[in-house]
Parts: sequence; C-alpha cells; structure tokens
Amino acid sequence: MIFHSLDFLVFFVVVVSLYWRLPHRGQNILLLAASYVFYGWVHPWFVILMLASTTVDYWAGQRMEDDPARKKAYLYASLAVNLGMLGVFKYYNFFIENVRELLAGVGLTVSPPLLELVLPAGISFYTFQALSYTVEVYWGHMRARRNAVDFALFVAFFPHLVAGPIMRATNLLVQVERPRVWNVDRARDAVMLVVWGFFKKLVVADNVGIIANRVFSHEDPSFEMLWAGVFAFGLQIYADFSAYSDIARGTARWFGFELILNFNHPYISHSPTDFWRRWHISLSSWFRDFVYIPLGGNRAGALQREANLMATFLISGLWHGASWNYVLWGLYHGTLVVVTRSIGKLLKLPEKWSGPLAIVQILLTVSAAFVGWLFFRETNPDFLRRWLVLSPAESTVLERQVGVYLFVLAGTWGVPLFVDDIWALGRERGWRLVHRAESYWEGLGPTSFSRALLQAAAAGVMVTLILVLRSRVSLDFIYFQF
Amino acid sequence: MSSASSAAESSVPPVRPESSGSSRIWGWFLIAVLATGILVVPLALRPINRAVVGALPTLGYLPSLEIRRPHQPFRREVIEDLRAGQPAWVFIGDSMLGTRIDPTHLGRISTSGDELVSFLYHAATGPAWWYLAFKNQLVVSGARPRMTFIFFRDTNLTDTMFRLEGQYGHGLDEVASPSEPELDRLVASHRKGAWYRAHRVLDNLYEASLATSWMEPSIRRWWVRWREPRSGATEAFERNVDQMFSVDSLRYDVPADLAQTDTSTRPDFNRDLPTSVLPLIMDLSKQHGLPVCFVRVQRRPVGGAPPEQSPALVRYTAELKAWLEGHGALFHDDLGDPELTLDLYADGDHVADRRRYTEIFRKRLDPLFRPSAKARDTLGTVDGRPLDPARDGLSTVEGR
Repeated sequence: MIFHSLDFLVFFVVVVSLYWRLPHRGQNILLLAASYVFYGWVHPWFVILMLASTTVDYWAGQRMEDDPARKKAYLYASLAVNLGMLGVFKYYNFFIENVRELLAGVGLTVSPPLLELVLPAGISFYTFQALSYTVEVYWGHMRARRNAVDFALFVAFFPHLVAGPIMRATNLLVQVERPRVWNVDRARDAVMLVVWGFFKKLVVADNVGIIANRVFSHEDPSFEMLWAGVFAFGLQIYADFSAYSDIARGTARWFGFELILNFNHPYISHSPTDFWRRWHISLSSWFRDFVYIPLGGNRAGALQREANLMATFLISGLWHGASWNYVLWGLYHGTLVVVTRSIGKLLKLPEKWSGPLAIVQILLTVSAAFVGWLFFRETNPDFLRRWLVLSPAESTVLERQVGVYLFVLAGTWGVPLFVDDIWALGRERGWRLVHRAESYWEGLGPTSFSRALLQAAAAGVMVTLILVLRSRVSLDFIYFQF
Repeated sequence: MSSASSAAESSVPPVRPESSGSSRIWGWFLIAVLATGILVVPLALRPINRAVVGALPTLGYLPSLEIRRPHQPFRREVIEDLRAGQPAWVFIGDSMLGTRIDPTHLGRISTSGDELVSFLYHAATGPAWWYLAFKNQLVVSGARPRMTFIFFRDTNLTDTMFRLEGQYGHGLDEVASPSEPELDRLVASHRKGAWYRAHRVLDNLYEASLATSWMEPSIRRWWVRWREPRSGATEAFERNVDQMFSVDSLRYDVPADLAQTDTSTRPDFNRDLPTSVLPLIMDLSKQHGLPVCFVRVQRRPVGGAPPEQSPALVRYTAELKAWLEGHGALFHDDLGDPELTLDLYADGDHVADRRRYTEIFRKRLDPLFRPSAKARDTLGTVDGRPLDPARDGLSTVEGR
C-alpha cells in the first residue's frame, strides 16, 4: 500500500479510530495486524519473508541471552538469514552476471540461471532494522525480548516500513513496549508534517522527476540538458525521500510513536562530512555504528581510518542497489569525505567558514553532492561513460537554451525546498529575522489559537497547491526500489 | 543489562503527558481549526479562477469524465484533406501504428505505386480516440477508402478507458464534436465508483482542475515568456522541446510506450464488449460502407520467441476475431509472424524499422492490396467474392 492512495486513507482512518479505543496490548496486536495488511496489500507473500526475518531474529536474540557461550553462532544465524534474504532477492542476479562476465573474460563460458524475482519492497530497511536488534543484544546493549507481538511490531511497524527511517531496537522497540498516550497537540503537528510531506512528494518531487526522467531517457542530451537533469534528480530524490520520512513520522505520531529525523536540510551542508550527518541520517548512523566502528573507526591509524571510511561508503553504495553505479556513488562520496577532511587538516581550515565564504562553502558542497547524483541516477555504464566526457562545446544553441530552460523549470518547482533550506540556514547561522520569527512562533505556545490559525492557513495553502499542481504523472517513491 | 544498555535505551523520546479534560477539548477545537483551514482555503481558487479565466467553462463532450477546462480546437483540416485526397487506404492508431507503417512507402509499393495512404494517427491514444477519428473525420469527410486499418495491442481495443484520462485524454479534443453522447454513455458505465464521484464533487467544489489549466502552464512557461515575450515564441520553443524529446530521441534501454495495455484484470471479451467502442465502430462501418481491418500488433518478443499468451488472452483473441468476422470486419494478428523478430523492435512494443514492417505488412495482407481489388469492394469481400480469411491470408495465427 502506498501513502498517496485512497486505499491508505481509508486504512489509516479505520486503524487509528480503533487504535485509541484499545488497551496497550490490544493496540500492539492491532498495529501488527495492520502492518501486515499494509505490507502484503499488493504481494501477500512479502509478509512471509518478513515473518522469516522476524522469527529468526526473535529466536536468535533469546538464544544469545540464554546460551551466552554460543552467542556468536546465533548472531551469525541472524546475519545469515537477513543478509541471505537480501543476497537472494537483491544481489543474486548482479553477482551471477558479474561472475559470468569475469569468467568470459578468461575464456570460460558458464551460464548459471538468473532468478526472475520481484524485489520485496522495503526489504533493505526492515532487515537492517531487525539486524540492529540482534547486534545490540549480542553487544549487551539491550535485553533479548520475550514478547513476540512486540518484537514483530518493531520489525513491521507500517508507517516507516517501506522506506525508513531505519529505527533502532533501542528506540522503537522501547516505544512499542511502553503505553502510548494520545496527545492532541502532537497530532496537530503530525498533520502539518504529513501535509508538508505530501506537498513535497506530489508537487515538487513528481514534477521535477518528470524533467529528470525525460533527460535520462534521452539518447543524446547536450551537456546543459544532462546537468539540468542531474539537478532535477537531486531535487527529486531529496523531496521524494524526505517526503516519505515526513509522512512516516507524522503518521507514527498519530499512534503515539516518535520516529527519528531522517533529513536535516542536507543541501545546506558545509562539507561532505556534514552532508552525511544530514542525509538519510538513520542509514548513515546505522553504517557508522554497525560497520565503521566495528571495522576500527577512528581508533585505528590515519590510513586504516580512511580505508574503513571508504569501505563503509562502498557498502553503503551497494546497499542502495545491485549495480556498479551505486558502488561508484559510494566510492565517490567516500573520496569526497576523505579528500576534503585531509585538505582541511593540511591547510588548517576551519570546519565551518564564516561570512560570505560560508555560502561558497555550502555551494561547493552541494555542487559536489549533485555531481554524485549522476552516478546514482545513471544505471547504464555505457551511458555513464558518455556523460562523464560530455562537453558544452558540442551543444547547439537550441540545446543550450533547452538545458537552461529545464534547469530553470526544475529550480522553479524546487522553490519551496529552497525557501525551507534557507530558513533552516538562517536558524543555524542565527539570522535575526529568522530568530525573531521563530521566537514569536515559540512564544505562541503549542495550544494557542493564533498558532493553530497560522498552521491552518499554511496547511490550506499546501493542500490547495497539491490539488492544483500535483503532477499528472504519479511516480513511485524512489526509495521503494531499494 | 549493562550501562551501555541503559544509555542506549534512554535515547527514546519521553512520553508526553495526556492533556487534561478541558485542555483536551481545546486541543480538539484546534484540530478542527486546522481541518477547517485545509477544507476552506482551497475555496479561494474559485474567485481566483473567475479573475483569471472569466466565466466557468462548460463541461466538454464527456461530462461523465471531464473536468472543467479549456479545450483544444477540433482538427477540421483533416476532413478537408481526406475529402480532397480520397485515400485508398486509411490507417488509424497510436504509436503502434506510427512506428510500424510508413505511409509514403506503402503508397509506393501498393497497386499502382502512387496510391494515397492517409493516417489518422495520434501517439498515446486509445480506442476512444480511434472511434472519434473514424466517426468525426473519416465518415464525415465522405472519403471511401478501400480499407481502413485500425492498429491495437492485446485487449486495448475493448478497453474504452485506455488513455482516456489525465493528460492523454486531452488529445481527444482534436477529434471530438461538441457532444459525444454515445461515447459518454460508455464512459459513464466505467465510472460508477464512490471514489470517482467524490473526486468529481471535490473538483467541482474547488475548481482545482480549472486552476491547473492556467497555473501549471504559467509555471512551465514563465521563463520562456520572460526571455522571449513576442507572440508565438513560447509555442515555438515548446515545439522545439517536444521535438527534442520525441520518441525518436529515446535511448535504447528506455521503453517509450510506458502506458501499457491493462494487465491488471483478466482479459474477458464478452465482459468488455458492451462497454467498448467496437460496436459503435462496426455500426458506422456498415452504415457508410467503410470496410475495416483490425490489426493486432505483436508485442515485443521475449527470448527470441513471440510474447507468451495467457490462456485468457488466447480465448479473448479468438472471441474478438469471431465477433469481428461475424460483423463483417477483417482481423489480422501479427503474433508469431516469423519475420517479426526482436531485431525489428526499438523499445518496448515499438518497431525500429518502419519500412521493413510496412513491406511485411503489405506481403501478409496482399489480397487487400492486389490491383484487381482496386475496384470498390463491398464490405467483407475481396475481388468481388466473399472474403475467406484463411484463403486470403488474414486468419489469426495464435499458437504459431
């Protein structure tokens, strides 16, 4: 089931109406059942996979606690099942095709069968979330859980199931286990989050997505057209993915849950390191805690540390999809982080530049991040090679005009994102106007009529724009494919 | 549990206390304020629309489906062209036709070598467009071609709603008359759901689609208008952009025919026939003596073989063929043609080499293109004798 469907609207209203009439345990059972309905709406067999992951992790957690001498074996069992599922459904064909090409290169012809499997939506998200539980139990950071419903709900909780944020057991599982309290002010904030999420998805992401899709469907775009397409895609993926996170967070609040912030204005980052503190935060921190630090993290020597970082980014790239372009994308970002950190240290530059230079620093960072989107978006290596050597000198006047037009058009649809980001920048940098406005807002208090009135006006304008400007071509959330 | 455990679990947000009775009522009131804002603010579109577009446009030729929007003009020049040209062959269809038949080449290789072939073609259209083009352009022109070919894929001939909604539906303007009661009746039979009614009520209430019709182009065009304010410049630029991103410019790994035929429901000819335009087309065909041949194109081969046909689709095709032939139409199925191999295809179901397909088509339907068949044949006859599909090479080839 997808958020922007009437099916979901009915589903949500029914579930939330029943939910607050039930006691805590009943709420968890209802949410679990609802989550399985949500997940299995199109492909009921997806639920079987999730149940497999849930069962193994639930069992492994308990066994680790009951039989500590063999806890490593149980951890491996959990890793094998979760990563095995990912391997089969997501990476098997990629692996086989590469092995086949490799062997063909040395004159051996083999043709192992390829699988025609549908990639279950959200598998990369919920397996990582479930893994976080077994690893935390293995490390002794939390107790193994003994309530199957609670644990299954932790894995399946529908608001964030398909595209995150990836919640940790130490956070979400604890929320599952304790009674939730209806808070009407939070519910109102949740509506604002959901409306803003739908606005970003339907008005911004889907409209710029059309531009990106047109450019990346073109046999021979000019230099300007290509980079306008990359720019459009950079806006699309941010609007799209952060929209899903906002809708997930807003929906979860209606059930009394608080999901973590997944995007913190990544396009005002002042360095590649800062970008990864703001972009897909739940995944970045997952890789930091479960890959980078176990590899040695910062504790090793400088060279080892950079190698750990590159390895983490490479795996992170591969997590996004079974294709070399994602690996390249990961390596590109790893290189950016390593190089900029080294240069910063060498030249003793401050981490955050001040004054007008701050804008230069942000523009450089964001430009570098947008270049990375070319690797992310272009899955065909033949075309990627061509795009990387494309020159503006080869463009005709008309191609240049069309490129500029597409760039401006994408920018026009992106205006709400820019306003939101500039506002956030002002907040971070202590701009007086922003500070005053936010002080006024805070001063109103969560239960004031004026605050509700302003929210109503803002939500009304966003809904109006959704009704009028939503793209006529509805695109799936991009991260559904991961 | 270790101290690390306590630290990790303390990252959980605190439970906020439940509001007291009176503040809870106030909280619900504030939610009602928010909901009111969401419902009321969009009403501002109504006066804004009045200010921008003036009077409320009437509902168009499909009141069961349409929203209020300005319409594109009907293409009357097509009627004049047909009347003046009196084509020997008329082809109707979407990109399945456009990427397969080269009309100039077909004209050259048929009969006397200079016969006129007319195209009533519009990419990304469906049976509603084909029916209206047949009725409002071909029939009205008075032209009497020797054969009218209608190209389609799998089940979309009986899927009236195929490419009728959203951006696709606007293409109908160029072939529709101010009122299309028969088509509207068919559309209405597909549109009985509560959601659909609710959507229409909301759209009429807020006039959102009308606002879309002027606001979206304003956003799309502001830059070009600002750069080049002279009249017609924006349209010329948009034509250039469309040309630059036409189907011909698509890369090989991108399917152009993104709107595929409906595969979500099980094909069932007898279920779909009563709500399809097929009987309307056949009625017109008989009334005006216009012979029609329906051409089912072969979709993209898979693994060197024709695309797999589900038992339901095989049955559907057989029933369609029987019905068409029972009503005096011809039916030709490309499926399984040994010359229609994968190398002929571009992307998706589109064909890369129109000339080659045209020659294959000409060869397969040779009886229809024979010189002796030039004299006006009556419907369902070739060379004056009743048409024998098997003898004349027009039988379906399912199972080949």
